[in-house]
Amino acid sequence: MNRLKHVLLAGASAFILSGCISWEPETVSAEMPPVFPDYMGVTVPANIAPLNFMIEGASRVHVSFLSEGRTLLECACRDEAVALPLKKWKSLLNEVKGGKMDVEVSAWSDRHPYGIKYATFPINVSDYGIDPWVAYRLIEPGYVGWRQLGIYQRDLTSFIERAIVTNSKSGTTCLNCHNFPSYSPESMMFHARGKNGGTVLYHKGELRKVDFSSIGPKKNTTYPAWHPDGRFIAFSANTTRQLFFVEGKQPIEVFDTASDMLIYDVVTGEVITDRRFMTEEDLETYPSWSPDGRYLYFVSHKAPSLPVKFSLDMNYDMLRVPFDPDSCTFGEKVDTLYDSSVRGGSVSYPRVSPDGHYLLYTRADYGTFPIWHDEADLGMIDLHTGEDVDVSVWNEENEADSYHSWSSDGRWVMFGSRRLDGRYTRLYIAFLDPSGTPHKPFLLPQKDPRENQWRLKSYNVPEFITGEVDLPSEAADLFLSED
Amino acid sequence: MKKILFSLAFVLLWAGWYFGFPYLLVWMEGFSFFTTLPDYISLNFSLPRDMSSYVGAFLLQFYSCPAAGAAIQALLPMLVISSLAILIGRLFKDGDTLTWISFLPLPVLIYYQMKDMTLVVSVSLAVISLGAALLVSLLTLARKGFVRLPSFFHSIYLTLPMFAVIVGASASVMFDEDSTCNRYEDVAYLEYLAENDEWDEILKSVSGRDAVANGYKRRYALLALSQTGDLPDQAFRYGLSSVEDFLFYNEQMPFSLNFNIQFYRCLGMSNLAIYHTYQQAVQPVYGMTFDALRYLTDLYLEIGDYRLAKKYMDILAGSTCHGRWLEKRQWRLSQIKGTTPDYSYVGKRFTMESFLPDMSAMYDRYPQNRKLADYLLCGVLAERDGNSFYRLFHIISANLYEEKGRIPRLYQEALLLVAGKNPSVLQKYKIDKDVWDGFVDFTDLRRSGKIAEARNKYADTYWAYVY
Repeated sequence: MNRLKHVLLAGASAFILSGCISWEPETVSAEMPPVFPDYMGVTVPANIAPLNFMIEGASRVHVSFLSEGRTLLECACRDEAVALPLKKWKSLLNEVKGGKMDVEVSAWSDRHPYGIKYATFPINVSDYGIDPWVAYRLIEPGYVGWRQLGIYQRDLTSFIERAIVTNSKSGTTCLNCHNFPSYSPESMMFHARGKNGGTVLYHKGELRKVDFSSIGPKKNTTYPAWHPDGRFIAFSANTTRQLFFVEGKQPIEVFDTASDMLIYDVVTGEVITDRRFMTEEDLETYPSWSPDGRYLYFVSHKAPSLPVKFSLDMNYDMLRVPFDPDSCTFGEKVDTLYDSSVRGGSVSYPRVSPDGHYLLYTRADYGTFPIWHDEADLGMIDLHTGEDVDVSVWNEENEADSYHSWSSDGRWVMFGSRRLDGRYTRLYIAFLDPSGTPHKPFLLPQKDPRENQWRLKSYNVPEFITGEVDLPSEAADLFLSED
Repeated sequence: MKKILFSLAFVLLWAGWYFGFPYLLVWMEGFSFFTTLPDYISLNFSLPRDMSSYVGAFLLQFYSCPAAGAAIQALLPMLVISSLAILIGRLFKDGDTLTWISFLPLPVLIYYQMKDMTLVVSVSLAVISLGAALLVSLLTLARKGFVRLPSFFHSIYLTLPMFAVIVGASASVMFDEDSTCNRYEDVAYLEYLAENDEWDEILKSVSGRDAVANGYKRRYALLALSQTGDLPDQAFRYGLSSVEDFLFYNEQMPFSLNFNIQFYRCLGMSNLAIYHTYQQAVQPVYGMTFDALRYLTDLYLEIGDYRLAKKYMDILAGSTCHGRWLEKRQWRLSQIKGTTPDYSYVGKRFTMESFLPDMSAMYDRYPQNRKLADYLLCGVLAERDGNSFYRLFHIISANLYEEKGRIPRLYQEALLLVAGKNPSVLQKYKIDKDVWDGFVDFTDLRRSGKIAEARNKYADTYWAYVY
């Protein structure tokens, strides 16, 4: 009994004393703290989730957020990862909104057992908020098979992640190409591939499945772009192939052997085509509407011969064609915005900013699937001047930077990048200020920063939405299958 | 008596699993995945519906130690039996002497267990039966033992023979040669040997007849021959009949994918090993497997890709049983920190097509690699394409065989056939006397119409394969 008393006493003492550990570091350094993710000097939305971070190998971390000499938030963690309290973080952002805060980090580790206080670094808090939700697909990074797969949505102002729709009821059905009209969570479409598949449309409270292989030109649709008015969806209809490199860092190449473009009228259920965009020689893909819905942007490659074969000369130009929503017809003139024969490389994913000012795209050396290309980078054109805008601050050399989308106010860009480990796509958020200057991007904050490394899925097709999608659960029944 | 029967049954079940299926138990761990990391539950399970799957995955971690795996395999049906014993004890008068009745479902439980690689069924049955036992115990708190059976059922003279019959029936279910587990155990053993580079052991355990009859054994034997350098001497002895015998094509079975991983690992073709590893990883419900994580960790440590090796090691650290495994690799991980991964390649990049073009492209880049050369030449022989063989051999032999003195036996046999149309072959290449004599004998037997005898006498030769 006496022994038990001693043990309990020792335990209680240790517990009490542990609360008295000094949080005053012994060393003060001019070094920048090795924080992950790198939030140093970034500009963040006024409503972003806490920027939890970690210092690898630390046993304790202390962080203070200061503004104009005042400490606004302090947090001490007995782990390498810092978890900032959500409510206090929100009030901190409210106070600093439109200004800058300094972050003071101290850490204790085997290397610095008595603590080290690093140099402070700034974080700018923008006046602009960000759309509260983003929708994306989570999928294993490439290859032929997959198991669990779904389209998810994440609250950017907290860490809530919810499934919009998954294949959990239907074995190995592939879900892809989700899209929304004008950032609206009220309408949504996605494809379900496999037995009993089709294109699932949720619009004005009505849920249905469209089988494009049995209507119009009977082509399976692929990449969508929902017209801002909500009535039309432009699709490319691609025949896609995969190749696997036997050696080298790039494991996979994805390419099209055919791709055309068509429009689906959500109201009448008709498929509208234009002969110019239905030829075998021209491979049109990645349609995208201008914010006013008067232009359809896309990329296109002219195949030198048929049948189309993969080559390193598969370069895609960026084009646009006028569109009249009243008559549902395309204009005569097709503008070339990026001529790959002149400028080199190959472009994908044209996306016009909501104010119509900028055109963001991905450029790779060749091909149409840049996410597997280390050299793939974002590029931007000022549509008012036709000049390139330098967005190199958003790119990481020798790591794929790819699929991107604009926030509804055009101040934020979210894009996928493989810069973290070269294989798994993660989401980055970057600010474009009103003068058109791009700012350093930052990794999508996670409750535990290590989740960025632990997650065994890639983020795919991030799309901003202005609210949470509430897709009826019956949507999953539309493609129910035992396979 | 009750305790003795339960202890005996547990020990027998444990021994059955431990001695009968040691490699399968290890394989089951490799094909499972469990971690405490946040995504694991949220993406893979819908609780409480998938609780059995989750518990099964947790338990499977311990199967890397066959003794522990066998204990869990024995424990799960014993939980059902124990629950039944409780039920009988509560419902029947003198239920303790009716223990043998609770053992009656044992053969059926084992039958389902033999197919239950994820433990979902076993865990579900255990949970349901324990729940039922608890419920009945609660309901019979006031009064128990209200059902009576004739005294005959309580007799020890019935108990012991019935127990023996049940054990016998269970053993026959467990060791049924056609059962899933028995088939899997054989392959799991070969897989284990291949993973540990025990190629001679594979050749000792697989006979030529086994290899002809079983696709897994054939492929592992051919891979072992390639690793020991004996492929061009003995390929036909182990049933080579097509290039498809070297690899599994378009198959998504875990054993097939695991074989392909070993095949490409042995050839140093890491991209394709990684490709098949990812394919293997998405087969079970967990969307990842321990085997895949361990392969990927080792592959990326070898390539020197710190970021990916660390990622997979961090994920493995979220499991229960990988402490020592990870500790062994920490040193290597620290060695590659800050270095550039080696993704270099020779010549122009090329993409995976089919066996012969792939081997040909690889040989082009690595002309001193004899394994590639042998796969290419034996592949062409398997296609009965003597002309292509000769063209290739002409190029390859200067690099690999002539300088080393002896031309492998199957190549000599093929050259003798080619010499029928092109006699100059015999001036270029040295044919061993016994091969030459054998060919003369084989030809004589054939010409005298004794084709069956010729094929029997020279069963493992290229001549018998062609004719």
